[in-house]
Amino acid sequence: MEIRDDPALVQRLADWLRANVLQTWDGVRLARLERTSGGISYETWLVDAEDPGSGDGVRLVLRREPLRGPLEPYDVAREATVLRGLAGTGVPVPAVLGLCADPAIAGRPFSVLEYVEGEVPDYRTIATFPAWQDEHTRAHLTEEFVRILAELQRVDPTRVGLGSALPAGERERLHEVIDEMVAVATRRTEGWAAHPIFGHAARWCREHAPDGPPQDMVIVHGDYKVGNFIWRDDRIVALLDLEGATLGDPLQDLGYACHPAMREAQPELMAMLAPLADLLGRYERLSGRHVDPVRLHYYVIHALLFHTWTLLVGIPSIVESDGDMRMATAYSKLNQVTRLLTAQIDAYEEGRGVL
Amino acid sequence: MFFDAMGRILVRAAEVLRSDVRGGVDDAYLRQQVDAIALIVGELGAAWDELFATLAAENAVFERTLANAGTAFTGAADDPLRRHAALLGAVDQAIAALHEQGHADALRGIRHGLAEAAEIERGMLARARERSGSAAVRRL
Repeated sequence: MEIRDDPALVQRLADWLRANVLQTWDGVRLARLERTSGGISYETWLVDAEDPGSGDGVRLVLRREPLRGPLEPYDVAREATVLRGLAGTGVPVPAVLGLCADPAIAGRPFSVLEYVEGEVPDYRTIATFPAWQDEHTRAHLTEEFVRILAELQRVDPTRVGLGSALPAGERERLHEVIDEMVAVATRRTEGWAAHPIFGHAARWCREHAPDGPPQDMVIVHGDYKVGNFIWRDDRIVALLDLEGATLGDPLQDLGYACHPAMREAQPELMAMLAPLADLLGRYERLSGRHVDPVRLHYYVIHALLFHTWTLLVGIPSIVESDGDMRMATAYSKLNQVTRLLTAQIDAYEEGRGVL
Repeated sequence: MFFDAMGRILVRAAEVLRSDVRGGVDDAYLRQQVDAIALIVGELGAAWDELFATLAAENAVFERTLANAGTAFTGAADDPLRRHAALLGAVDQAIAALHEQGHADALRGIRHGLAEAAEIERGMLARARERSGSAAVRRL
């Protein structure tokens, strides 16, 4: 059942907000509850709350764990810890206003975040975005995109609750991640036909995993793309969707940003922002790190493996439990990731670099 | 009647969802749900006339890919959909074995077969999108 379909739940939520977030108000009435995202990620709701006594109003963002999904176990508290840890660093994030672990309030745990005003350009539609259409402002947008990534990589992982369990090394970490993907896919796709490109890409990524010492690891966003930040006044004012944040190689997010499916409209523009050389030049200047092009290419392929995995396990999840049919339209992407993966692996093996 | 009519019925069902149902939905998320269902139903309807030929074409690619990799497909399923699932399983198993043996060249051949089958599917869906008017619809 959706939040808004349950008047008792809406009242419990209003009471919880009054007790935990809006304590100075006389009461809380929820004037609007609008779901903005779903699928395999957390549910995000826009909440307009009003104080019936004073007439004051505020817009909030509610992030609720999904009912079920391939990225289990879900944990809004983990994301809230990351967001709280990033507050006051060079990475702009929404403030965490509340956290509710009690499923009796809204069915599942949720967090309440500050609503940040601005636009959320998306890689599918950014070509219509005014800042993208002008070459000068697009260059500035690219600079901001890379600058925030470099800032994120400067943050001490212990500050966001990620520094306590360092893997032995990057190769071991990647093997653990890939093995977990395979285990989840095996479990969640029982009774469904095999999808051979996933098995091939998983084995290929395992065999080609680069190594690196744990002290070189940084905070990895995990979904660093155009679509996961808010843009206002010519700058990025909030980085979003840190639910998958982890520790890993500095080039993982950069490789993810070069994901070929996210630049289909203009394949020569990484992240739909800039040519590869431009993006790498900015990253090297802003982060002070050197980019090994072969290592970067690995993480592009790794991003495609992750994408394939989400499609492979996400679609059965929707069919069997979630019911968010928007994600189900992704069936047409399985052939896309197959074509992109096979082309990128060929290019890697032939030393042709990121396509 | 069923096979002759179903494609057109699905196309019409998608049109009705968009024209008669969507307007009565007073919620942004539910409207997106209706749009997604209309897209799925409409694309399936528009692809209907090509569905079975595409399935057969993909099966032929997988059979050839397995033969080129030195793996004979012994699945006996006559039904093309079951044959498709069996072929996918056989390709998956062949991939596992070739990785074990470190046969990079044979794996490259299998990759090309997978890409060829994916291209056949892409073409069918692209034409269905064009016919159903869903080419510009945003997907997650």
